[in-house]
Amino acid sequence: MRRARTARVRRTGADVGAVSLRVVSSNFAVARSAPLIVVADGDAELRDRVHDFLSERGYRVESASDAESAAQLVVAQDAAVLIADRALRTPDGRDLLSLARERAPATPQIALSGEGAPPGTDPGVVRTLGKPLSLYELVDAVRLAQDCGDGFHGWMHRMSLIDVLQMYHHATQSLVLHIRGEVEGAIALKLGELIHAEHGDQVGMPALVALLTAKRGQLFTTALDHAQRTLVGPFDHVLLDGLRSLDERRGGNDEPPAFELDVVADDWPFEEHDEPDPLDEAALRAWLAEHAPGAGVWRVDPVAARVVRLDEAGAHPEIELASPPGALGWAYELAELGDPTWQRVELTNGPIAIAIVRVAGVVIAFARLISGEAMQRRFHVESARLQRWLTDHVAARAAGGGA
Amino acid sequence: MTSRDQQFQSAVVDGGALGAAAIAIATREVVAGFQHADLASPALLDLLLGTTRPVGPLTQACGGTPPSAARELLIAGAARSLFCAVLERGELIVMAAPATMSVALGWALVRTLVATQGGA
Repeated sequence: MRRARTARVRRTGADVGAVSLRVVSSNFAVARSAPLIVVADGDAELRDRVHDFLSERGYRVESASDAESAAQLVVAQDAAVLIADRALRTPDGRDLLSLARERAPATPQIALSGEGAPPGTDPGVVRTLGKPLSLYELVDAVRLAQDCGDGFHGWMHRMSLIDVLQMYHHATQSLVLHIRGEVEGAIALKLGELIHAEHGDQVGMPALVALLTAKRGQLFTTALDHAQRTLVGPFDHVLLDGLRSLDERRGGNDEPPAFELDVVADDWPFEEHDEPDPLDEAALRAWLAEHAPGAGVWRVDPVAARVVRLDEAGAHPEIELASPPGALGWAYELAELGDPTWQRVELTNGPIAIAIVRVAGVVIAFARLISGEAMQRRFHVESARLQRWLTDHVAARAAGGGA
Repeated sequence: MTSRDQQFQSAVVDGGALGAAAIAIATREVVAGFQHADLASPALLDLLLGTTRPVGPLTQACGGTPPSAARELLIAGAARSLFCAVLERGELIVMAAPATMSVALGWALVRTLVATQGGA
């Protein structure tokens, strides 16, 4: 049974359970070119393996066999990450991790622990890896450490999964949230929007719903390396859809929910989703050909930062020639900054006017060369008409009538 | 209130707008206006006038930061529309109007405001 919800989702820990959280908050820093990694370990073979492995992946690597020289390297060369054996100490007994933290507090650390040693929770240590060392885990940890330049990291508890998702949404973070415990999987966010979920063989909404059933477990985050997209729509809508499905599953009947009947991993190709497209692109092209001929037209996916041209490339070369690069993105950023409820933005920039229309998650941009007042007025009229047509079209398709 | 302020007041009241201002681009001072509080945030003005550059993922995907300045901007929201016109004489005209106002009327009002000069 469906249950109405308010747009802003808020659930308590008692409702959806609590998880302990390995949390890393960052501002999605731009990676520096050839960042320096300092590796400090008494084991020469391990140092060489790490050196070769990370060097092959584009990092500069400096090795040290003792604590003092490692600390000097970190400070003198402004290391991006320090990888250090937790047991490494200076002759006067100070351990390297605290020494480096004192001299270079901004350098994130990865601690290497002896076999069977418990994971540490030292401040500054982004991740503790046990020996024998997995180099693939190490390179993941290095990426994570680089993503930790700003923000806090550490251990938290009594957070529900929804609390954490909302926190990252409000902070517009880009990362992958891994869930471990009774239900395992991962949820990816890009700029605060839910873009992907996976659970076993499932991806997309079925996976998200399965993960939302978790009442307890552990969470940890990693940097977002790629942006596979299996969830579509604004954060609140996606989360509400997931919770609604969860409600229906818990609704008292023992029948499996409908989404489990037809979900097979192989039937869920990359970039596709379970919701029908609210826009018939062919209908849009036909409308534009009749009502706004000569305009350049694009469909915009702001979450994936993707722009797909809908009119024929090259058909209006003056637009390519006159359109300043990035103006479409500029218009979008102005709209987001100026009014979060924006439905249409028009930006005249040099000889080009760009309009972006947003209706129920469908974002369409079109551009026209402006050669005078009359053309400018025509552009404003076309922009308004496009908004009206798109509103009617999306509503008609949602009602099942097409347009 | 200057005579130009009065012209702004007349245009806003008679035209059915919510507020308007002429802003000196160099100093960001309001040189004339009526009901101009909270018309546009400093961050929006910075982004519009090129003091800060757009750096979002969509801008990057579209080829990077535009090299030239904006001339006109309209942001139509659920409750209000914001009209901005960057003038060669170093002024920015900003006007807010109800969302129900037609875009054509909005720009006509902005043209009226652009035509007001000096007379302080």
